[in-house]
Amino acid sequence: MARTVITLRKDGSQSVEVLDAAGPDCLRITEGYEKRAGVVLDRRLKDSYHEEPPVVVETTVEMQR
Amino acid sequence: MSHFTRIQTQIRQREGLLQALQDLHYSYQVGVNLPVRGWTGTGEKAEVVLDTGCDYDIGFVRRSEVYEAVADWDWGIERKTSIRRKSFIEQLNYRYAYNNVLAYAREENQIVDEVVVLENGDTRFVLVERA
Repeated sequence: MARTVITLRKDGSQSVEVLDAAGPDCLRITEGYEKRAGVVLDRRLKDSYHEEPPVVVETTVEMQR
Repeated sequence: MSHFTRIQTQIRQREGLLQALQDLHYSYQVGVNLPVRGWTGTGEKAEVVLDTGCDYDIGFVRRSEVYEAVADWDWGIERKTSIRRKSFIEQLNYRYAYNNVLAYAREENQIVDEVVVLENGDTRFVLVERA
């Protein structure tokens, strides 16, 4: 069964990784989540799951003035 | 082999925005072309306007698919309230994303198998597809 690991950073950015899913399912789940979560900063294939260190990226709610 | 994606959270759904504001204990107005009071008195118009407790507002304007926060931050909000732009935006994005994960799990019929707050303050969810 596919597992989806989503990590929310304190700045509101996030990462998502789908485990235990065959290629097409993995891509379908990944893209489904990406579509509703925000803008993809980068996506890559990994050989194995490793917890990513915290990353700091700009948030998207933009400030005016 | 797995896909790994980093995502910049975007606030796209008004209901999610309102829920996040409620969770953070802000009160607000919802409407059409609500004025956002600012330094020049020529504030923008917004769909959602936050009550900051002073005569300067924080508004949320929908541009394309994304809600943006508009305010007179430097000369108004940060001088007259305890709200700080950076932390406000980060907290709002975090709360919105948190609720969004739970909504995604419900809509996709997935089990929330684990929710863990990590040592660095990040939150990790593990969702599992139902058999």
